[in-house]
Amino acid sequence: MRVITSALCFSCFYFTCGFSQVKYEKEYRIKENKVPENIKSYLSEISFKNKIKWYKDEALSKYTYEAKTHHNNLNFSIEFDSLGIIEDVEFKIEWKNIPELTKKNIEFYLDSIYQKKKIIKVQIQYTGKPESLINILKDLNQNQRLARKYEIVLKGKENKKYQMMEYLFSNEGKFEDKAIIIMKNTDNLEY
Amino acid sequence: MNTNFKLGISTLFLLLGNSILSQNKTFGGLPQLNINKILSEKWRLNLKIESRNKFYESIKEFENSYKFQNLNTDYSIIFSKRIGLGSSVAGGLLFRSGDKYFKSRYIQQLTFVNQYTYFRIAQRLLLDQTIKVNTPFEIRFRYRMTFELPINGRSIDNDEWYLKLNNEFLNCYKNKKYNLEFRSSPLIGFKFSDQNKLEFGLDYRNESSLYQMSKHQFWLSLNWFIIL
Repeated sequence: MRVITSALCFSCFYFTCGFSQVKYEKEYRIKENKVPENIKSYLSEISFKNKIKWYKDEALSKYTYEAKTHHNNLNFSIEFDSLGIIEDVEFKIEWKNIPELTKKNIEFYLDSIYQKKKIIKVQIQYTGKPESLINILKDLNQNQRLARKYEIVLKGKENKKYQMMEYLFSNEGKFEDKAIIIMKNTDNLEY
Repeated sequence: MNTNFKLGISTLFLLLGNSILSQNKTFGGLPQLNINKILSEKWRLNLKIESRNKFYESIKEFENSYKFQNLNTDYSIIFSKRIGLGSSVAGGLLFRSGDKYFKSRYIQQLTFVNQYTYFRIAQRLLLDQTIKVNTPFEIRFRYRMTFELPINGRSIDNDEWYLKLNNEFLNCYKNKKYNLEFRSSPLIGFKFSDQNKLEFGLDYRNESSLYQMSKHQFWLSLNWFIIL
C-alpha cells in the first residue's frame, strides 16, 4: 500500500506538466534591450545615478512598460504605454507627508468605510503631457502643469471582512477610483 | 574577493562538511501531495499525503546501507479559518503509517503571511501531540519562517519560477526529555496556474545533540500543491 502511495505521489508530479494555464495578468522583469527605443531616448535626458529596473505588465487587452529606480532620494516608478508614451510618474512618500487638508479628507472618506485600516503604501502620482512629466524627474518643484493624485494601498476591515485595496484620491483628497488587490493563495506557505 | 575571505569560507565549509560527514546521516526522498479545497470565504480544507523513502544511511563509520526503504506515509486532514487578510488558525489530524506501527497526531496551527513589494514572508506557530501505542506521549512546539521570492518580477505569476526558503525549529518533549530539531529547506518552485504549483529542493533536518549524537537527514523534496 505504501509503495503504491509513493508511486502515485511521484507520478502525479510528472502529470502536472500537461496542464494548460489561463493568464489574466502578468508582470515580469525585462532587460533594457527589450525596452522600446523611444522610451530610452525619452529618459536619456535624465542622468540617473542608480540602475533602472525594467518591467513589462501584461493584462488581457493591453500591456505597459515600467521603469523603476531610486533617484533624488525617492523611489520612482515611471509607466509607459505599449507605444512608449509616458502615462504617469509615481514616487513613494510617507503618509505623514500628505498635506494636512488632503490627508483629513482622505481619512474622513476611509473612516466612513473601514472599522479598522492600516496604510501600507502611499505614492504621489503625476500625470500630464510628456514634455511636462519629464520635468518632475529633473526637479520635483516643476510640477505646475501636472495633475497630482495620491495612490494609497491599505489593509482594511469592512463588515468584518479584511481586504487589501488600492485607492486613488485627487490632490484635494477626493475619492476617484479603487481596486481590490487579490491576495495570492498562501497554501504553500501554510502547509 | 580577497584571499582571506576565500580561505575563511573554505575553512567553514570544510569544518561543516567534516562535521556532517563524520556523523549519522540519512538520504532519501520526500514527495508530498497537497490538496486544498476552498470551502467558503473563511474556511479551507487541506489534505496531504507525504511519503518518506530512505535511499542511503550511514550509522557508523564503514557501516553504510544503500537499501531503498519506504519508512512511512503520512495522511493529514486540516481545517483552517481565515482570521485576517493573511492570517489563519487551523486544526487537524495526521495519521502516520510506518513499518509495523501507526501514529496519530493532533495539530493546531496559527499562520501569518505578509506580502511585501518583492517577496512574501510567512510565520507558522504549530503545536502537535502524538499518540502511539506503547510509546510515551509526545508534544512538540514548532516555529517556522518561510521566505518566498519570485525569480522574475515582483510577484509570482502563472508560468513563473520562484525561490522558497523554510527554516523551522522544533521543540520536542517526550518521556520527560526535551529535544530540539532544526530544519532548513531551500526549494525552487514553479507556478503552473493559480491552482497548481510544484516545488522541489532539499529538506535538511538536524536532530539535536542534547542527548545523543547529531543526526543529519537530507531529503529530496517534491511538493505538489493543488487547489480544487
